[in-house]
Amino acid sequence: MSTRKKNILKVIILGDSGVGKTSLMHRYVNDKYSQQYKATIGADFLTKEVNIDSDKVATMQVWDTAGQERFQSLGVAFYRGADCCVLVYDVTNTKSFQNIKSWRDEFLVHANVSTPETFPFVLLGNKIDTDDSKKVVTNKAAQELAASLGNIPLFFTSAKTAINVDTAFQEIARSALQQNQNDADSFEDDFNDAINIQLDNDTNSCSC
Amino acid sequence: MQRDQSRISYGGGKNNGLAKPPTLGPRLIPRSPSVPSLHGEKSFNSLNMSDPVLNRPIYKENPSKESRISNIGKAFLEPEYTPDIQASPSTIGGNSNLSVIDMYADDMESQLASEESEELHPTTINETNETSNTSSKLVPKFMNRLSLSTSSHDRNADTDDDDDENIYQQNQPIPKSPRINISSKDAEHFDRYGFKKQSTYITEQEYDIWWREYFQYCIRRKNKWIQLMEKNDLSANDESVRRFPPKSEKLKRYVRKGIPAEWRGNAWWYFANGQQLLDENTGTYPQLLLKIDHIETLPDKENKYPDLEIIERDLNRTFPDNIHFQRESFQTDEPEMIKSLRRVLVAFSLYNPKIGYCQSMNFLAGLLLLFLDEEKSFWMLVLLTSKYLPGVHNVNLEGVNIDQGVLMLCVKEYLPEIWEYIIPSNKHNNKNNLNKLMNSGFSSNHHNTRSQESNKNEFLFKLPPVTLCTASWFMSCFVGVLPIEVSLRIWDCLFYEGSHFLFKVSLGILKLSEGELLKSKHYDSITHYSLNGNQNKKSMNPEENEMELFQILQSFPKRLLNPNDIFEKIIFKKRITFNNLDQEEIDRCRQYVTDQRQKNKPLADTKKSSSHTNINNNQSSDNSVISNHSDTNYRNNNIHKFRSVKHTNSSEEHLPAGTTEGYGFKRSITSVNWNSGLKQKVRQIRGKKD
Repeated sequence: MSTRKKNILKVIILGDSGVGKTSLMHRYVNDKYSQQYKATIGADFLTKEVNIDSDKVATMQVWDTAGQERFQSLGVAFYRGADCCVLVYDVTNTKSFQNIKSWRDEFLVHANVSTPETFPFVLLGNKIDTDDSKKVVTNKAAQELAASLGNIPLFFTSAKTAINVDTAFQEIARSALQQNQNDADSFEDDFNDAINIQLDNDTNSCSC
Repeated sequence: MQRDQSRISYGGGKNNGLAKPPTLGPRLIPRSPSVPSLHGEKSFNSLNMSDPVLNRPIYKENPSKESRISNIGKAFLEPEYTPDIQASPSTIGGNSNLSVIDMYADDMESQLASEESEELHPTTINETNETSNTSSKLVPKFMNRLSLSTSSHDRNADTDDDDDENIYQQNQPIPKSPRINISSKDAEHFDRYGFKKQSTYITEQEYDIWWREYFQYCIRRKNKWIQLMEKNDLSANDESVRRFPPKSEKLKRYVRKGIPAEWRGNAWWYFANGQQLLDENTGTYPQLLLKIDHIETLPDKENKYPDLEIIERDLNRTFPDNIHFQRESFQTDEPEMIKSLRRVLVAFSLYNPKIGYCQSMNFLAGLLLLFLDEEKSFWMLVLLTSKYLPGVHNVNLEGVNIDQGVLMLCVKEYLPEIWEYIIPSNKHNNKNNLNKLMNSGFSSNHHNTRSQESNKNEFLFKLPPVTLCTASWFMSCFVGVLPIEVSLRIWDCLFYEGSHFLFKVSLGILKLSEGELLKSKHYDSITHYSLNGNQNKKSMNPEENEMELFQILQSFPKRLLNPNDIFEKIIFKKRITFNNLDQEEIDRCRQYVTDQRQKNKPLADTKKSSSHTNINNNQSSDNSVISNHSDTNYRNNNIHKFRSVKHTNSSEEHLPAGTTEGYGFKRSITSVNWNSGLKQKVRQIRGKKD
């Protein structure tokens, strides 16, 4: 059981189209930024080895998703088993900020997590490198939102200039690892129930 | 006559009835138009297109260039080529959005072609072999990196090839050092459509080496096309190619080997029956443009038309690597191409509110605009989203889910070894099954309520995660998924043969991925052996297996530079079972999956009843628009199917065994009877219904 996921931490990045999900992922995983990212269709993931609190090592699987709402219907399959969900808005886009809550709800519905109250979310306000005059979401509003979502960690980031990206993902990794371990523990119980069902099916379907 | 599509006899007149010798001398070289005057617009030089990047002062009189550049570089910088480029500013008009491309870079073409005729002496040879040989000589390292075929490895191991490699390396054609000046450098960095040659997965050097050979292939193919056109009393003049020969087995073969790039737009338009749709809807597009103008004046347009904002965000994220879509820093106005793209996408969202705007349509429209004018691009987008990819872009993306279900069925049927990565069979390893259950997380409670049959077909309504990757293949018809020349070859076949071709390509890619999987599996078995303590090669848990597949699928197709690696070596290989997959089969399969998903709707993960009704309405309205076309297309496909079956049978015996070797796996490909398998399934379902 200890090698159940070989400490693979599954992290899902959600948020409106164009808030910078792909850029954040690439900045974190490859420490690169490009103006030339194409719109994401479906989902991609990258993996990165992470050191958490300098003594634990894990592989983080970062999932980048399409931002358009209708793509949510495709995403459900990989929401499942997530260890942390990163919610991203664009500090220059009010709507992307207003939609954060619905992204979270959407995630909780589909991910089918055992304890939604404690499932780790991290909120990122991206594009803080932009000119102040263009920023429309205040830090205060962001802090209030983070508090209302259960005091989830909040970071103001810039994938472009790398501000806070590593810091944020350190926190994400930590939360994910915590969740992963909790999950594994509580999983044992569910698991025992499930075995029987599946074995029944086996005897029926296995004709060899 | 033609024994096998992967073994084309070249230039040998016996197949086409023309006794022309297979020379590639200048006389026969099709001179591509400086611009595709496909649209009856003023010509402009392709390399300039709508972007002034390339118009800056030129490399013309650089004395050192001769010594610094060899072959390819030279061809690009041929002096006679220069005036075109310099002349370009005056040729860039407001309608540059209609422009594209000097497909072969004119002078370079004739120059290199004549070179080729001397050095390659193209006698009647097996084309595939010729191609591979040439490529392995030219690009041994590249091929190694691609590792698509061990046969090329084998050739590389050849001492002769090694010699060639050395020669090649001495004549390194692409200097890495900074170029003489910006313009020449820029001109060289883009392909004939204006895409940057270099990508994350392919270096410019790899591109140039490959292209040098592939464009010779293109020239040969175009000569063939010209002969075919002339034989059919059709114009083969780039300026006026509008009509094409009636559909036939031969034409299909020609299309499969690539439509000449200058003709592509018109050929797609012709084969997709676009003109008929346009004729039935004359004035619609201009009206939509008027409506757009009106909407622009509305104060609350963003709220009333939420698609506008998403379209806006995607305009510059469509082809950021294409000069037609790029805004230069000194430009104040956005490129014409961006404006066209906006108009087409907004017009479409108004025309079909049930779809509105769906991300990935930007790639479809963007590519169409490189080959067709705006109005035609619009109607082709209509055709793509209704006839070829019904429901795929709808609000609930149900069409995607259906097609992914179909694809999964195909994989299960045709590529059982890949299927093992997606849904492992239980019989080999019970542990896998337990793991699978564990990893499906808390969905296990659903198992209680599901019937036996539901479980069996569960993957149709609870699609495996890997479909997230493959879904994008369908939504964007492989634009951005594969290198551009490969995508274009796919589009050629898509419009000629129908949407089943997308499934064939997908299966082809999946088949190719098997080699990659084996490589990483080998690696994995070393690194994870102790962890698992299990000697079974599939000892990793299923989720990891699928993620491994996912990871490979999301990257390796982007390295698939040479279209013929997938076309001739996989998709049209006669011994590949899915070669027989046809439109009728896919249509039936789509129906089956649709029914299955409907039936299991309460159990499916993501049903939103409101949006689901949309899809039905929408499909029917779309179908009414294009029903005529569908009919013709359907008929044609049936004809093709019939012929293709005959063709297969006759050609199979000529094919030496083991031609598919070289991809790192060996699998006996016996005749899988897909038809009966499906029928059986349908019967089962019906039986259970009753």
